[in-house]
Amino acid sequence: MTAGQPGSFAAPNAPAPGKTEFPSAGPAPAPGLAQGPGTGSALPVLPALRGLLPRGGLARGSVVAVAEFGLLCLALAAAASADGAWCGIAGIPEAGVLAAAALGLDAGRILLVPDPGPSWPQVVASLLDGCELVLLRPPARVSAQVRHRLEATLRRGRGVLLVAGDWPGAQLRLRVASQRWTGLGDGHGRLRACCAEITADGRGEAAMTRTHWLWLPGEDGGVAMADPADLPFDIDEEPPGAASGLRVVSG
Amino acid sequence: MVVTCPDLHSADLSADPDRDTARRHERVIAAVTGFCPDVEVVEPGVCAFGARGPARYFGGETALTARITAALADLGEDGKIGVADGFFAALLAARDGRAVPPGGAARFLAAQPVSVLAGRNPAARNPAAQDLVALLNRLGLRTLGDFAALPVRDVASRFGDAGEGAHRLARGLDSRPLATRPPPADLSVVQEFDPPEPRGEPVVFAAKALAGRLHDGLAARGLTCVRVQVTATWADGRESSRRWRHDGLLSAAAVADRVRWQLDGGAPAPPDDGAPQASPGDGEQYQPGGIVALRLVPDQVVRATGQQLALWGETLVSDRVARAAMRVQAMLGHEAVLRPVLGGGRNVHDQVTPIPFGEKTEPRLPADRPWPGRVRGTAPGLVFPAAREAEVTDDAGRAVTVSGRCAVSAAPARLAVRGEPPQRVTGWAGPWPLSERWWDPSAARRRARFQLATEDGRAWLAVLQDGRWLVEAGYWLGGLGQPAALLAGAAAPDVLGDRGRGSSRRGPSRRAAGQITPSRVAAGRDSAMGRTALPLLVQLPGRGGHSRRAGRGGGPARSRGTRPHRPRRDVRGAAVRAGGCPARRPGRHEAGHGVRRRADPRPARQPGSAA
Repeated sequence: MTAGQPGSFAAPNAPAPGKTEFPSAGPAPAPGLAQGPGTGSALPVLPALRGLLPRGGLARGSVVAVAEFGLLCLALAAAASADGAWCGIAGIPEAGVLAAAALGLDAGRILLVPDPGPSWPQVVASLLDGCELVLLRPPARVSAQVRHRLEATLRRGRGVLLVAGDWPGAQLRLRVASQRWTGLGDGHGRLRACCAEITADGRGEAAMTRTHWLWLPGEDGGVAMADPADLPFDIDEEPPGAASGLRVVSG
Repeated sequence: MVVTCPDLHSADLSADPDRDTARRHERVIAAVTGFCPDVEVVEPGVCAFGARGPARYFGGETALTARITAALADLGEDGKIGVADGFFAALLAARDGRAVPPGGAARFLAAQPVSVLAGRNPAARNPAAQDLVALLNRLGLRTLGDFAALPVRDVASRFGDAGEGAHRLARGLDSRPLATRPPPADLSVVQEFDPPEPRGEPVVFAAKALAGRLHDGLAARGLTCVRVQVTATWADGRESSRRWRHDGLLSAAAVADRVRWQLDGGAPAPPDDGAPQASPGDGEQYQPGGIVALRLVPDQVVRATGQQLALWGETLVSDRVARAAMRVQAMLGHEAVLRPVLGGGRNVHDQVTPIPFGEKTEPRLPADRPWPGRVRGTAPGLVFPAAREAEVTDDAGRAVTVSGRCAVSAAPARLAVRGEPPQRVTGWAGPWPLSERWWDPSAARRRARFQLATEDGRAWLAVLQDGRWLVEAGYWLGGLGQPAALLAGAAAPDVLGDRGRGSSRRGPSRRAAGQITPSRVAAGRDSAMGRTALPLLVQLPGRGGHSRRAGRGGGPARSRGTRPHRPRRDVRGAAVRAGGCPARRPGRHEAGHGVRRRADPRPARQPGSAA
């Protein structure tokens, strides 16, 4: 894990007290779904993103919500896809596969369902049967019943549902607090990199709000932690040290 | 006897993407095979067979010719038939549709020009034969008769093997006997249901045995099929037909699964028939609209060479994924599940080719070309399927234009994408001109691309084409979730520079986060997530809203104690509740909120016991 702010939160690999009680690692996972020894309780994420996630990965059986579809969703899926997971993308016709591939997703393991239509819950449930990771943009209003049913499917299948939009029961919520592209001048240059401040909070062990500065994508196309001290622009309102944002909000 | 179909003969099969011509050709061959089983397919649209036997059976060559012509006319094909001694003469006779009497081949051929030796189909012309024809013409040998009159030995010494072969043809001697093919066996299998089967389950069950027969039939011949076509026919004549990828990988049970999905996907049009997944309760009674026949047809039969799975490096679709994808395809249609293939191209839309799941994945444009003129650098995270209209204006509010010499009229200052509030442009680059396919008026386009960064931190790929601004792609990471409140309050320029209001924007977001979290902590974070998530799942369908409303502390111990039974109830509970809801609802109202299902039977039972 490459947290830039040491000591501000527990290392994700440390046996947190809540860990054994998290649903996907619950006492009795559904029989017949035992995975091989190589599969842990979380799907891997890119090293730079580990610090944002309470267990350094996407906990299987959980819902991760990102406020709006964008590169962040794709970056979250990248490492798992590179690791061999299939990624279903439902309801997001504008998903940029090229950018996804640049971030590390394996385009050969992507299933696109651009328009799941009114029966989208069944479509997502079917996708969850086959793919470990499903990226979904639900329609505006999702009834609680549909939500719970999908979550139940999710826990049975040990997948991860990555929602681009609002999902009230999400275990983890990610937001892009700010983003700035570099490289564009006044009539010259081109987009090179984006520096973004990502905030994560959620429920349970993710309840602590974490904020990280990331290069997403960086100059080399990858994702890297950004050091608030040497951003190519000014963060005027707070001294860089205070931008750690990893504020412990509970005792 | 030679049968030709001029339409099919001149068609170039390789340039036929739909395989339509190939299918027509196959139908013609099948029709001809009905008259004589041993047919040699010479080339597309031409087939030959020995006429003596069939002609005697059908009452003479003329009668046979008439019958075959009629059969072809039924298929909508215009066939011509020639009869002669030997294949070459018959082929020439078929041009005019005439029958050369027995023994008359040499005389018939003598009148033909030597150019027939080169073949008629320009695509299939043999260059050696063409040279020979040109040479014979220069030597003054205009007809085959002239050529045939030359002594064999002189022809062989002067023109070599090719010349000798041609000389044999000219004399009416065939160069080789016909190589006929046995008729292909019908590998499809059918199961008929009498009386019609209204329920889906028996059909699926029969499909499993049927698929076993199909596989046995294929395996006995050392064959496998690329796809299998499943056709279900209903009593009222409706038919549902769909092709499923097979590749020799599916077991009988897997084929039966496809049948189930296809039937689940819905019977065509009027839904009044025994819906395939009708409830098992209405078992024996006969419904008029059941399924009468289920047919499995192997499509694209190929030799079974076995499957070698890749050890490394090749992305294989696992059975699990294929199953999921096909189930979605059964719901939404074949084109609804796509696999993206990265390719080349100059525009963001061209660089990814979506291909329906199960088909061969090949990019539309090859990736290994230089593609000068494409936008380089970071790829956009959002590529809008249809470009969004936009307006780009300068400081004075005039639309920004680009001249023929690629000069921008003014620096872009505002970007208004349709459907979103206008944004101030904080950085821009371009124009990058692109003039594509100018030689093809229907596909030609000239466009200038720009990258624009706006004050909300996002960036856009905008295109000016035919005087209109279009936004093709977007570069951003995500959003705050409450764009109305936070982004609107952030009239702050994000990109490069103006630093005034950044804090006012970032402030609220952090404060909001800070507000949310303590409240959640107060609700009991320690026990909240870890323990209650599971009971929440387990109790949900059976107990209505109880666990959600009653807070999170209560459930865990009990639910864990009864854990082994719960998941099953979870699955069944939803159906039970859905079915029994109307009956139960009054009871719930009487008893107030939070009545458990377990408590429901009691009011019913108590009156019973009292009486």
